Amino acid sequence: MNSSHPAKLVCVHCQLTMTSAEAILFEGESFCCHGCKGAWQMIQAAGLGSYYDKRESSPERPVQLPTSLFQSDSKSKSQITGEIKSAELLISGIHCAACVWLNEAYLLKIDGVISAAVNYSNHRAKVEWEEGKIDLSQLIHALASLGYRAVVYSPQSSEKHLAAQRLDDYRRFVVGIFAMMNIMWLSIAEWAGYFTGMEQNVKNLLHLAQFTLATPVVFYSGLPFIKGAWRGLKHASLGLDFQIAFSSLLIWGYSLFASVTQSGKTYFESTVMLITFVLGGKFLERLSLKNLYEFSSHLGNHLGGEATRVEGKKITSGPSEEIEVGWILRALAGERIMADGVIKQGIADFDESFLTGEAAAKTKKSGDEVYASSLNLNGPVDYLVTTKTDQSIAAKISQLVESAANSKPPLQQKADQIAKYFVPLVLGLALLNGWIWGWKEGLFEAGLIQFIALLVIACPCALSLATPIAYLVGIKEAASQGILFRKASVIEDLSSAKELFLDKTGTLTLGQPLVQKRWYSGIHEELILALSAQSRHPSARAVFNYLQSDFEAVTLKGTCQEIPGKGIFATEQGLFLGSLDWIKQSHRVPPEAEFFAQQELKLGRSLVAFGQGEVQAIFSLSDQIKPLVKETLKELEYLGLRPNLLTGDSLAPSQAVANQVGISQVNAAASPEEKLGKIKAAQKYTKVVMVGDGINDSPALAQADVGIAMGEGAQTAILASDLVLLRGEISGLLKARKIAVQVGHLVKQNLGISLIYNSLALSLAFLGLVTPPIAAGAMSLSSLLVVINAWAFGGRQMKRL
Amino acid sequence: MDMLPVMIFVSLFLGGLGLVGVLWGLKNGQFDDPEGSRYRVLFDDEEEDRYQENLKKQQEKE
Repeated sequence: MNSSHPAKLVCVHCQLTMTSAEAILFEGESFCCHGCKGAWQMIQAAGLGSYYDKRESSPERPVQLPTSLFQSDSKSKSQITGEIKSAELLISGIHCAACVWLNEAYLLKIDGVISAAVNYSNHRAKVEWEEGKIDLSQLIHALASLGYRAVVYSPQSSEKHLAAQRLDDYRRFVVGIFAMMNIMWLSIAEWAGYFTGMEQNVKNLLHLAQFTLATPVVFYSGLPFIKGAWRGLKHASLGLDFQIAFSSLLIWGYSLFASVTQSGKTYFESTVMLITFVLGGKFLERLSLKNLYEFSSHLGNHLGGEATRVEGKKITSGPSEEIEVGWILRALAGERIMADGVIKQGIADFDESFLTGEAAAKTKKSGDEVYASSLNLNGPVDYLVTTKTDQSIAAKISQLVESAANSKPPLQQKADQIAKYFVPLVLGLALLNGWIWGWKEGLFEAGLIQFIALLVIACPCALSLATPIAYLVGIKEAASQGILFRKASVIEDLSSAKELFLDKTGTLTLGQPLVQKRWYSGIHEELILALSAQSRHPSARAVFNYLQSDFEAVTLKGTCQEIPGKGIFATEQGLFLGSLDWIKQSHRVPPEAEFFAQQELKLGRSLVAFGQGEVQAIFSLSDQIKPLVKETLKELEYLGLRPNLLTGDSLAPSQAVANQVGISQVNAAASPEEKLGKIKAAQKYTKVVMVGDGINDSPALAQADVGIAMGEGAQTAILASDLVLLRGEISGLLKARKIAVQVGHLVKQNLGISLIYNSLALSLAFLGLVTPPIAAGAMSLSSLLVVINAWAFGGRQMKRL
Repeated sequence: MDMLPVMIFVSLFLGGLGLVGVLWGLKNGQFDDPEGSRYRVLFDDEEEDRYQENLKKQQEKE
C-alpha cells in the first residue's frame, strides 16, 4: 500500500474512504476502483445521474462476472412466451428505494427490454424482453456492472403453491367482508321491521337482497369448508370444517326456505358472519408461513454464485452447485468462500459473522479451516474443498432454521382439536333440543326452529372471537410503539415465558469497538492517527475515530505494510500499530504499560498498542453497552423473565458485559448448535424468549418460543423472528412483555364473558325461550360485548403501560 | 316505497363494482409491493429528458 498524503477522499459511487493516492480521478470526480468509475459512467450516460441525490445508502462495489458463466439460457429457468421471454431475478445489493428505481430505469433503457418491475420488499425483479435483441445473460451483466448481483429466481414449488393459496384465501375473505358489511345494514332494517311491523313485499325485497349477498359467501368463500367437511365425512371425523359447513349450509337452506314460503325469519347474516370470521383467522395463519419461505431464500442467496477454480496454471470458474470435494478454489479479497475447506496457500482475515455473529475478523493461514459464506476481507487465498456447498455448515444453518420453524405447532391445529369435541357436542345438543320440542309440539317445523335456534345461539362466535380480538388489540397497540408481533400465538408464549436468552454483540452492545482507556508514555498522536488511517480493521478504525477529532495526521515516509490479524507498520520510520501480543514480540514493554494491560484484560477488553522502539501507547477497546439495558433487564427479571447471556464470543469479554448489565447466567463461546441445545433444554420446563441479531442466531431464534431480532440487525434474522423491535432497543421487550401479560388478562375476561353467555344461552334454548331471531341477536350481542371489552377497556389499559 | 328496490340494488351494484375492482387488483399484482409504490411516486421522469440530450450529444460526436 502506498502511503503518501493521508487526506481522505470519498468514492462518488460506493462512498468508500480512501487516500488521494488510491483514488482514480475522472471528470472531476474521484473513484476507488475502475468498477465504480464504470458504473458511474453508465449511470450518467443513461441520464440517470439524479440517482446519487435520491439514494439513502451506498451500493456495493460493482462485480466482474466471469464471462464463462451464463453462456446459454438453457441453464436459467426462463419461460418462452412467443417472441417475448420473461424471467424473475433475485437482485442482491438493493438498499433503498433509489436502488429499485435505478435498476428499473436502467433495465428499461436497454434496447429490447419490454418491461422491468423490481419489488421493493422482496428484491425480486420481473423482466420481459424480446428474444434476439438481447438475452438474459446480457441483462445480468448490465446489472452486475452497476453493482447489483442478479440471479435467476426459481421459487420452490411449495412456496409457489403457498403463495397461490394465500391469494385464493384472501380473495374469499374479501368477498366475505364485502357481503358481511352489506348484509348488516339489510338485517338491521329487517330487525327494525320485526319490531315495528313491515309489509310482506318489503320483507321479500330484503330477503332477496340478503340471499344475493349470502349465496356467494356460502358457496364461494365457504367452499374450502364444504370440501373439508366432505373429506372429513369420508374419513368419519367431524372437525371445525364440518361444523362451519354444516351450520352455514343448513342456515342458508332454511333461510331460503323461509323466504320462499314467506314463513318466519331468515338468518342469512349469521351464515355470512360465521364464514368470514373463520376465514380471517385462517388467512393470518398463512401469512406467517410466507415469512419463513422468504427467509430461507435470503439465506440461500449467500451460498449461490460462482467460484474460481485453480488447476495448476489453469483458472476456470463455474456455479457453486458444481463444486466437487478435492478441488482447489481461489477467493480474492472481498469474495465469499464458496464451500467448507482448508487453506492451502495465502493468509487473510475472514468475516465469519454469518457463523459466529461476532464482528471481529479472524485471521487464517495455510492449514486453517475456512467455511462457506464467510467473507475474505483481504489477500487472495487458495483453499481445498472438503465439503460440498449444499452440505456446508452455512447450508446446515439454513436447514436448521427451516426445521426449527416448521416444528412449531400451528394455532389452527389446537383449534381443530378442541372443535373435534365441541362440534359433535353442540350438534347433539341441538338435535336433542329439536327433537324434544318437535315431539312436544307435534310439529316438524317447531322442532327444526328449535334445532336451528340452538345451533345459532351456541355458535362459539364470541368464544372464538374472545382470544383473537384481544390479540388484535395487543398487536395494534404494540405496533404503534414499534413492536411487531409476527403471529398472534407469540403473545401467549411471551406472557408465560420464564427464561430469556440474550446474544451479546448488537443486542446488549452496540457492536462497534470503542476506545475506553489509553496509556501513553509520550506524545505520538499524529503518528498513530496517520498509521491507523491506513487500515480498515475495526480496531484501527476505533483508534482512528478516537484521535481524529483532536489531531491532524502527519505524512508518513515510505510505505506501510499490513499483516492480517496482527497490525500495520511503516517500514521506513519503524512505526508499529497492532495487537499488543504482536507488538510485544519485537518491542520492550515498560512495566507501567504491562500493569495497564493486565488491568484492562481483566475487564475483558482488547488491546491495541503503538510501538516505536518500545511500546509507547496502549488503547483498550471494548464494545459499548447499549443505553437502558441494565434497567430493562432488572425490571424484566422482576416480572419473572430471567435473563441469560448466550453468545459465541469468548468468556472474558462476555463475563465483563454480563457483570455490567447484571446477568448472572453466562454461556460463552457457544456454537449455533450449542445455542440451539441450550434453548431446547430450557424449553423442557418453560417457554423461552431469545433475543439476537446475527444470522448465526437464526436457528436459535426459530427454536425459541419467541425469537426476537433487533431492528438494526441483519435482515435475515428479522425475517426469522417472531417479534421485531423496530427501535432496536431492548426496552421494547419490556413493553412487549407488559402488553402480552395485559392481553392474557383480556383473553381471560373475554373467555369469561362468552362462557357465561354460552351456558346461559344454552339453558334458555332448552327451556324453549329462544326463537331463532332472538338467538341470532343474542349471538351478535355477545360478540359485540367481547369486542367492546377488548377495544374500549383493554386498549385503554395498554396505552397506559 | 317504490324507490326502495331500486336503491338497494343500485347500492349493491356499486359496491359490487368496488369488489370486482379489488379482486382485479389482487389478480394483477397491484397489492404486491405497497412499500415500493410509495417511493416510486416521488421519482419523476426528468431523467428521460437528460437521456435524450445525451443521445443527441453522442450522435453529434459520431
